[in-house]
Amino acid sequence: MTDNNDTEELEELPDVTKRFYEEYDVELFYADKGTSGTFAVLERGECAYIEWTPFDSYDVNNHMSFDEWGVIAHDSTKEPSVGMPPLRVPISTIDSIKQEIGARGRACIIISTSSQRLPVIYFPKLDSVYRLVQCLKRFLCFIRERDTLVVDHSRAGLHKVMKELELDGTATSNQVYKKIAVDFQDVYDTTLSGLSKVTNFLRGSVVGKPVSRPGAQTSKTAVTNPTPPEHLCHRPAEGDFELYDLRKPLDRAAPVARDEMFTQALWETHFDSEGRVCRVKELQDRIFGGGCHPDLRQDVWPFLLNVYPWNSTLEERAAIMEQKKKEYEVLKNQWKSISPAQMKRFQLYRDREALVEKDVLRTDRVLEFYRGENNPHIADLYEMLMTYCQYNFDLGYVQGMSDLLSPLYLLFKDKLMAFWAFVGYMDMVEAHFFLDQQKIQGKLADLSSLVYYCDSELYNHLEKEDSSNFFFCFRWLLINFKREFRGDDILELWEVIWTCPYNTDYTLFIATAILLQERTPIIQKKMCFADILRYINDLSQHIDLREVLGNTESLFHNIRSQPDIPFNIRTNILRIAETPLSSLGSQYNPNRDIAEKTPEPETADHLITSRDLDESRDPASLLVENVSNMSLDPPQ
Amino acid sequence: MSGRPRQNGPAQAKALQFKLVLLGESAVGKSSLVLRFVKGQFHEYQETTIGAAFLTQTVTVDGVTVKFEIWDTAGQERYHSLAPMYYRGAQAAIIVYDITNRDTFERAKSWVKELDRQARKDIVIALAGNKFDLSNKRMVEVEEGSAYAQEHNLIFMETSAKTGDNVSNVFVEIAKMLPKVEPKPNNNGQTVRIDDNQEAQNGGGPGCCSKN
Repeated sequence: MTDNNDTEELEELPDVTKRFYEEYDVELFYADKGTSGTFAVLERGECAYIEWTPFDSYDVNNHMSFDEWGVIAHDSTKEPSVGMPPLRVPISTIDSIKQEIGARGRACIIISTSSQRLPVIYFPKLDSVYRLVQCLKRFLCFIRERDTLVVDHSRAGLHKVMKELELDGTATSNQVYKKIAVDFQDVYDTTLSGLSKVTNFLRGSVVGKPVSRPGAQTSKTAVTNPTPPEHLCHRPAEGDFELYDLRKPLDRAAPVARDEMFTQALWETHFDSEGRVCRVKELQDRIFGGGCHPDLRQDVWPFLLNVYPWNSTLEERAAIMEQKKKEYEVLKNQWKSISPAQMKRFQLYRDREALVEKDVLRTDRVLEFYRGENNPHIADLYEMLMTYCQYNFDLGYVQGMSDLLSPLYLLFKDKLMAFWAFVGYMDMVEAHFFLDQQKIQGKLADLSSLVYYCDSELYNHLEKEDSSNFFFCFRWLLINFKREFRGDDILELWEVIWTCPYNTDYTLFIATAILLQERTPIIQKKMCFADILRYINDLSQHIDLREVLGNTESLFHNIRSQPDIPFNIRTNILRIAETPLSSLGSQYNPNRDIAEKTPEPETADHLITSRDLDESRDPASLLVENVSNMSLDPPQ
Repeated sequence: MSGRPRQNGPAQAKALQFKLVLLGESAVGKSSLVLRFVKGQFHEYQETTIGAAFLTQTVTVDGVTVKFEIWDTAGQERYHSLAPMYYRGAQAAIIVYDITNRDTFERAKSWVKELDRQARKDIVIALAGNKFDLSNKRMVEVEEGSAYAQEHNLIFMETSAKTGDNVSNVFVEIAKMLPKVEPKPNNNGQTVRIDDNQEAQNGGGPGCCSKN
């Protein structure tokens, strides 16, 4: 085929009549610059295309209308001047698809057509490539040559064959499309069930191989072409495209040593003459690095939990507490003054009261402070939680909240302070308890992305065992690991989360670090979802906090320093504004003193996240869907 | 234990495995029933279940060993949306209510309805009126629970996780109702009983289910 054939497609393109494949967070690379977008296989009238649309860097409306899109002859040695334009290629022009090793082995392919080589396309997951190939098989007949699928233009793909068969007859196009749709559903189902075929090998054996950077390649033959060792190589059936997960796990960096505890002596140096806390950033960094001395927590936590502003004077704090005392009494009296007659007509109140009563009775009763019949501290927990229901009427009481309050009351041993500290804590995590579960499901999705990025062998195992919903971490994330650690450990863990200097949700990295610590038994014992859930639940109180925190911090810096952080992690988890990928590495600075924490609301406002683009297209929401549809039967 | 020599050498017949889910209002004693059944323990102030828990235990019924893979769920209505994940595909369910709390009985009824609609058609359901030890504070009469169970074709029992009354019985009755198709009968066509005690001890440890 010639260029002329390609460009003929430019004219008067019909609307999309069918979508066969869609994947988000697919990156195209020119030289060192990657742009994320949506990759689709779709049909416009009689012609099928692969199309890629960038998320945000290219304003389609300002540059050309949707219908004006054309096949853009990319020269992979040139960098486009304005962002990355969308890409559209007729499927009939595809000559070959080559699996390539991306930076650190991410799943990517190079598509060549009759007239050009497209930029390297990075997919979020190996199975995205697998599904794409399955989909394209409908249009094209492939012959496999090592890691390349070459199109046999003399044979038609299944789709074309079907069309010819049906369209010659009297069937309306609608009927044909229905038939095709059914057929594609079959393919999709087969693909999903066949995901376990995805071969995961060569891990580690490509380490150290020169990674060919897109753009540096000048000809097909010059491309690094790893031939897997014979004993590792799966022999695919003829024409089948066996996918190799070429990614190597993120190298384990040495754990960051914990610093000295933040002590009374240091704390006293942080006050000015009127009692304001100064050098707050330094103080937070110290607590983050080494935790608070246990005796100091009562003094420091009211600031960490926003009971007092850091810049309040001693005098102002006394006034604040006076005010909060009054407010607490008002809230408490609201529920205490509900008469029995009123209560009869107040189902919501009765339900809440029953829940709170049931839960305080079984919260941390093994601790001395809460032990024994008629322990007054249990009644105090009840009072504080009922008062919180008045304070945050929309939320009320949800199971798990008593777990967050109990350590605070144990620490302060003062209802008033514990209550307001709890209010401050709940302000941070209340979305965990919302009815729609979106927050927790989003966190589980983010955790999934991180584990996938850091350790695809572990991830692949979880996926194979229907566990990539990460539901076994639900308890960790819902109550910030409260059930996993005891005593001072949970307090130290929480203050680390609250003082994290990075603009990220540190709990995700803690969870990832624990999972990476436990990866070997999970993989080697071939644990299924049930096994993993039990194993993770049984880790409770057996996790070494210092080891976890050291590993978490090194993991965080390790990820931050990688040159190829996927869009989702970069934007939604690390919340790094878009920068050329190559410059990310230089931002790494193991020194925590770098002030990089930006106020979250602002950041969230100007960053375009994949969630903003389209609710239904959000990979996280897809995972949510996955979660809710997922059968957790133990594999037979 | 069969006295006849095994022709398959030391290999034991595989236990039949069944997925069982516990459902019911918060604080009716779901986790306590499981803990009593699996470990023979009882904690007066059993902490709330967040997310879910998984345990296994075997029972032997008429010479057939049945291994229960037990999914214990969180009871609060707020977490209701997670329940289908756990009851989907379950062959058995124990719906628990607290005999001292009428609301929990009503909630149990709605679980029965939900399972009728959403669960496997052949699911074996037991209704357990728990906290029998507190029968002096009873708010749901045994006849009422029994009648409802009969009407809906459920196994019914009042139980006490605290004293252990009827706890294993519920599981045994369920086991009796489950299909006993041998996955692979040994040469004598007989099953070999797995030592319950040993299994019970192993049951609590990680990584020992379904992959043996």
